[in-house]
Amino acid sequence: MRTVQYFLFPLALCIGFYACSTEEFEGPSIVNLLGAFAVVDSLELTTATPDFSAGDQVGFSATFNKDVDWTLRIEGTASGSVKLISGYSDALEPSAVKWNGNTSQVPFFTTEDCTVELTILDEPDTMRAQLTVLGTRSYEGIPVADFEGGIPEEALVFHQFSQNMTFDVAQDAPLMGANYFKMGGRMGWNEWMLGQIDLPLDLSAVTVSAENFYLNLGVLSGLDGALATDQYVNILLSESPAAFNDDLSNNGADVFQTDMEVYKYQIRPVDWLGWQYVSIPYSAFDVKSQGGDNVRTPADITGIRLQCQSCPSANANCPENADVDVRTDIDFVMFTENSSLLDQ
Amino acid sequence: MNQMRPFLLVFLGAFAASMSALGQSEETVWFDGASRSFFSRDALGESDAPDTTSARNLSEGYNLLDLNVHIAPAENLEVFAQLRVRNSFGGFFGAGTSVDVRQLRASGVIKNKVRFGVGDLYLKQSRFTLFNPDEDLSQGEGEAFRAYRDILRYENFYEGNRWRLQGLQADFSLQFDRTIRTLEFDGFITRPRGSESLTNTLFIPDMLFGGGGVAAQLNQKTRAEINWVNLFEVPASGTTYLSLRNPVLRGSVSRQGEVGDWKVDRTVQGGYSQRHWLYSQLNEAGKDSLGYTTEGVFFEWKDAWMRSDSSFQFHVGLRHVDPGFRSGGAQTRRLDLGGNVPLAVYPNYTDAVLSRPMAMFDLLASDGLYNQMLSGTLMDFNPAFSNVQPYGDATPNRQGLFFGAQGQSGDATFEYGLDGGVYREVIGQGIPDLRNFAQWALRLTWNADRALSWNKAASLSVAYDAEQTTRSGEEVAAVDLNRSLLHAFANVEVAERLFVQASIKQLDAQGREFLTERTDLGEIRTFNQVDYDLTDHILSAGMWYAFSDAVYANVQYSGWGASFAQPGAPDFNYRRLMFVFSVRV
Repeated sequence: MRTVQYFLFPLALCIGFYACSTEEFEGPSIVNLLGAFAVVDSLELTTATPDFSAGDQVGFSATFNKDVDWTLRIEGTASGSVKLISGYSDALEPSAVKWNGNTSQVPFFTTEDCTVELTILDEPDTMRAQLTVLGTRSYEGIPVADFEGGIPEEALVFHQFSQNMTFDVAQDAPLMGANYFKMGGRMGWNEWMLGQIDLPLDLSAVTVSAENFYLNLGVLSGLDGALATDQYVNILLSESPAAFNDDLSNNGADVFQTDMEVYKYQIRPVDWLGWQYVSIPYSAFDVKSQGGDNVRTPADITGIRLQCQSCPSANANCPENADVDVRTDIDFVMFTENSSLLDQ
Repeated sequence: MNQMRPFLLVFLGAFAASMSALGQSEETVWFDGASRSFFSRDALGESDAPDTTSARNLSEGYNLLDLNVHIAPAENLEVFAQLRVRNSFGGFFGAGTSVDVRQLRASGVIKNKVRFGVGDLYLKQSRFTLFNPDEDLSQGEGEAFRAYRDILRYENFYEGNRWRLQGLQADFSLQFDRTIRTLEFDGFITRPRGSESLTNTLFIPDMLFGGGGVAAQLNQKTRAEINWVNLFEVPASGTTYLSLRNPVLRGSVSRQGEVGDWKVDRTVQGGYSQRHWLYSQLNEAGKDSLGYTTEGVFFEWKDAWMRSDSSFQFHVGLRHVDPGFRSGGAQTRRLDLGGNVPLAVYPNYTDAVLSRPMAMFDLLASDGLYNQMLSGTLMDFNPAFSNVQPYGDATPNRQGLFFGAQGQSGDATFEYGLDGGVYREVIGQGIPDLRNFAQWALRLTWNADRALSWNKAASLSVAYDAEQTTRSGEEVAAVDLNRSLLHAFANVEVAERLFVQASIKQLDAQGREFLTERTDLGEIRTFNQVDYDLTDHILSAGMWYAFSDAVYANVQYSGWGASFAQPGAPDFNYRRLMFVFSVRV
């Protein structure tokens, strides 16, 4: 028997198989699962004085000895605005982990000092830094209304004439700038709708699809610490080519009539205290009335209605609302393309 | 009465066939089967934590009869049915009595050329394609716990290293007068699992297992084989849109020869497997995609040498099994640690009603812990029981050297055996550092009757099986697990066919390992660190009366338990008196 051949052949194969094993190891890293956490390089910022109005960005860097769940929290000391960035990795690379001045939680940042905290899940270590915003970020989009010049001239405002109706511009708690639009009051009879503001729109230059077209607006409620039951913002978008307000005898614009192509979305309920900034893709709007092709086409939008509604206290629907003012104030209404405003 | 219906139907069928057989002399009916009477009484032993919530002792038992009916309606054709009548002790007016059809098979030979079987089949192919590896901690045990082993293997249809599968099998061979001597063909298709409902609307599909092989006797000394098997699911028979595909291909060449006084059998084999999951949307047939694909190869070279007088033989070999090698037919484990079946004896203990850890005795006494179905993914295992080759020779991610030897002294006073191997992972798990494995098992039997010239049988056997697993490198991932299993067994014939037996079996496991937790698709999800420091023991003594090799009565008294060094794991000790009368004909 040619014994040598029999020995050499399997030996060569084994060596070959060993050399062919390219994967480093199977499964998740045990070091990541069970190893003690340590900071290799602490938190550093590429700049501590960003001017976001000039396009500055702040990059963050840190290095750990293993992959961890980390969270970066930037908080404005004056505005209280918060930006959160999180990830799972063994390092923060300034080219990937960066801040352009936007916010995760309104109000928006102002020119102010900010605290920066980097925390690690299940670890006591917290790394801290500070920065100063020299210029705030400008958001790109199609403005609808920011109420800085009062109620837009072409807008139509209607409200019921019951108690404490506030369908007007106010300055006491704006989300952005100096003004906001206050929508609220208290209904004395069995009626859900308190009031509304209609605005004509010309979006013919928009080319993105409904999935990539966002309506963004801030909604304020409960500043007095009380919330009306089932209060909400009813939003209508019309694609009707009819004249915006041909019939002056109506309480609102004509383009939202029931035989026209209108889409609806409800921010419901509005059950928070203070401002929240809401972004809704146009594709999330439902068909309210079928007057056209029923295809949501951003470029065809001709008008928007922002309506304050609430469960009435009358007729025992929501008797607890008899002593509470409804508030669904709005500010900084803007359309954006391809991403929501806060994701810019 | 409903329980009796199948029995009556089959019995009437068998009766009708037998009556028909009486009228046609070439047709025959014959009977054989097995019966067993079993009784056990378990009692609490000493424990370091009080247990007032468990009964101080428990007893149970049963009688059963497995009646095998063989009908030969024609030449070279046999129909076989096994009917079971089982009666638990304490059953009254039929309560605790069951009647089952346990096995059905038709087999025969067509035209004296093609042999076939339909129904319950016992199939085995190679250690890498279709093989039922022995259960954990059973090696080197000899006859010490034969009564327990007989029950658990019989109840789980373990015939040698075959899997019991239900389907169709056929084989035939061709003979030639030149170039090739013989060609043997075989093929089978079976259904290990039918469609099962997970919810009212969610069904997992049928699992089928098919394969075939060709073996060629190239000349008097050289043999070549090719095997192929595929464990797969039929997506249309379920609603989960997820089905398994696990084909395995194997080839081998073996050659026999002689070197001096030695007979040498040299075998080289290798193969390839792939496992993937098919995502099929039943409403859009054809739009399938592959995901979670695993593939790998194996290779083994083995030299077996035996002296011409058979007094000594040894083997040595090299084996490589890729981390991605998956073979459901060969890697399915007998012991199912999935936790679906509670322990048969005192599953909870202490006043805190803790779940009792599985002990070595449970592996003997709880036949329900064992698995009868092929698995498409790697099953869980306990490193304290088996860590070097938990999936048999086809254990993936192993490469190394294995060896073995056995022989006897010239007068057969001593018999000895040695098996072992040293292996290494091919790639690491959770870390680039590789585990190293070492395993060796020594068996030594002293035949006292031969040494002392007694005319009655007497023997003392000792077996020691040790496993060591280590992984160095990163401290957080370090592994150092040592497991040893000592077994001693004395067997003395005190009167004609009456034996007094005593045995001790002790398992020690110390060290640290990482349990691998896998997803339903076999991917490693995470690792859980476990620290072992335990001693597990069985002490038993009893008497054995052998009416024949297949008919025996055994009375055995055992004390068993485990102790743990870790806090929070109370020790436990139990006792059992067992009687069994077993007949297999």
